[in-house]
Amino acid sequence: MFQWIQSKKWVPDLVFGAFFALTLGFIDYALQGSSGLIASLLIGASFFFVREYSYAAVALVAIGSITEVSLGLLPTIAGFAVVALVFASSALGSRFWSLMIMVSSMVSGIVVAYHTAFSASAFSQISGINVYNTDGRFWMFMLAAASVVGLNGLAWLLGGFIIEFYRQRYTTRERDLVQGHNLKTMLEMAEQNQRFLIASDLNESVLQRVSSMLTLTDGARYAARLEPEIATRTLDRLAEIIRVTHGETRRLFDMLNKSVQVAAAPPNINDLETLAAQLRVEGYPARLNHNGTRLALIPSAELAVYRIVFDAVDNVRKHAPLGTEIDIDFNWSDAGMQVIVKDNGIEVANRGTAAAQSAGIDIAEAVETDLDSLTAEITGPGITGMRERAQLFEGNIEAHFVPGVGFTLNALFPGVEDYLQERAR
Amino acid sequence: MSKRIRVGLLFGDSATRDGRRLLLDTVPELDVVYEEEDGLRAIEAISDVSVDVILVDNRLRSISGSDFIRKYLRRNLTDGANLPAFVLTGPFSSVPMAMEAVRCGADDLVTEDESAEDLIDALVRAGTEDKLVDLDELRALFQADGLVNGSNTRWLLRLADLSAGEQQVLDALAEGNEFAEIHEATGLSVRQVHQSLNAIQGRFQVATRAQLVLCLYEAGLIPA
Repeated sequence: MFQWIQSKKWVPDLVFGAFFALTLGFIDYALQGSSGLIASLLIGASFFFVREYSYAAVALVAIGSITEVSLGLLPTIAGFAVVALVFASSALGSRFWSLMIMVSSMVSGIVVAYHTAFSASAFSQISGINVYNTDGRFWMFMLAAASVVGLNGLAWLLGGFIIEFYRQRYTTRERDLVQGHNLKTMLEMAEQNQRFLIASDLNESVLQRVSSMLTLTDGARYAARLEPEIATRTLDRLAEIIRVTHGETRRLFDMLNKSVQVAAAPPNINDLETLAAQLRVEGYPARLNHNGTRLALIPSAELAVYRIVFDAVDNVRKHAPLGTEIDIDFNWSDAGMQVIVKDNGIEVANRGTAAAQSAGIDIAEAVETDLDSLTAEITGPGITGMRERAQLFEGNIEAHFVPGVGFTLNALFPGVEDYLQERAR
Repeated sequence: MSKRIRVGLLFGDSATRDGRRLLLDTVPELDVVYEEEDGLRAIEAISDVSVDVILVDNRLRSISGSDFIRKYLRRNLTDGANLPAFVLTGPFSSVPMAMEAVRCGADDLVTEDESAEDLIDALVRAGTEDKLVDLDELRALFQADGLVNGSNTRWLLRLADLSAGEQQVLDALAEGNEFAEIHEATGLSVRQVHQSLNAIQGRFQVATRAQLVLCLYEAGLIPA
């Protein structure tokens, strides 16, 4: 809960919940007075919890309905709006809790319908039809109950369908993006391999020329003792070979240099978008955020930052389970640039073992592990490599585990303004 | 005056070959009698030329120098055949290159990162001396190459019905004696040791002592 509050992920939920609670509350207040407002606020507030704490939403729907019945109210507008809650939970929440909310909404709706149909204070006529007799009340209840079940079921299916449709479209687009990127990289690799082959042939030719020079020099060194004239002839020949070798070396240089110019540009911070997309396709929900004005750094600095982030998320890929959320946050300010890469790998792994824990796993041990992670110093070649990259640009790296959540890497570059592209020009 | 060693030069590159000829022409003991740049042509032609040592560059036309040696020996290696010695050369020395030289049947390997004097010594040695090898040096090479002692015990099948002398020589090698120490260890004469070694070499159908050591090492008959 504390993490949730700290993450500020509740802000859109608060807006969502407040909108429903106030709008529906106002209407119900206008129609049925302060009693209607109480029931409405309770049901409306359930929207606030629908995404993160769905059990609270279920409880509020039930409490709101009980309040409605116990205060002898007619069905409130908020009661009808619970269908929207079912829709929202189906789209945003987990399958289990969205089912629970739907069942809760159905049961509450049926209870309210029963109360309305059979209560003496309820309508005596609907559209001129007398509903005082038992048959009339029964059929009115049946109609209302069927509507409640149908509407809730429809909302649940529709919510699930829409989110699945959205996911499919989004995933397909991202997969295409990643596939395109991979194809481009493969093509560049193939071109690079060809250049290496050509460079290898040229290198062999150069080596052969060097062998010639070496053996001729050795030969002439010995032969000149017997016949000095040989030295002059050999020098002429050597000059010719050196000229040819020089040409070969030039071709080799051009080929290697060309591969530098033509080959793929080194990745930069913008390429992290593709990396995030790739992570999402692989099943790690990843988000990339830039806070403040994104500055263009010199290529080597951009590459260093890219590599630091890449290594950090690669570490998540290696150690955290699928479904782990990864946040890559860039904070740009006058004081420098900060990159925070954090994941909730431990939280996701713990969810997976929640059943085992409830079956009797020692909680004290888990707490101890959490406390250990507060003080543990993270070391290893990976973190050393990242730190050395950062130090090249006056940066520093700090990495730690957040107890019960996951790994957080904090890279700080206070002197980033010395590495701006404009300044480099 | 001692007998001059007749040398053949096989080099794919004419300038490199010219350089080597310039050098060898200055050595009184050596007489360059044959030159060729194409390996396949040399296999056909070299039997008609009387040479004692062939200096083979690994960069020949048509085939590599080591393949030339391998093919030539496969075609001409018979009991009692008087074959030339081969000194393989190439640009750089390395463990794989040295192993290739042993496996193909070269008597020595002298690369361009060694001095001209080393090359001359190797040629003179290959043309004159009894071709003994340094067991410790070869063992170190096999180990550097990752060769496992006793990795090919099928070689043992070729050692059935050894003569008493051959068995004594093998036992002496198994005890860790160097080639030069075998006659002392066995009580056989140097000539008898030489004949026994040739006989064992014939069983394995290999041309050089280094190849023989390789076979015995793979058979597990020489301690690692």
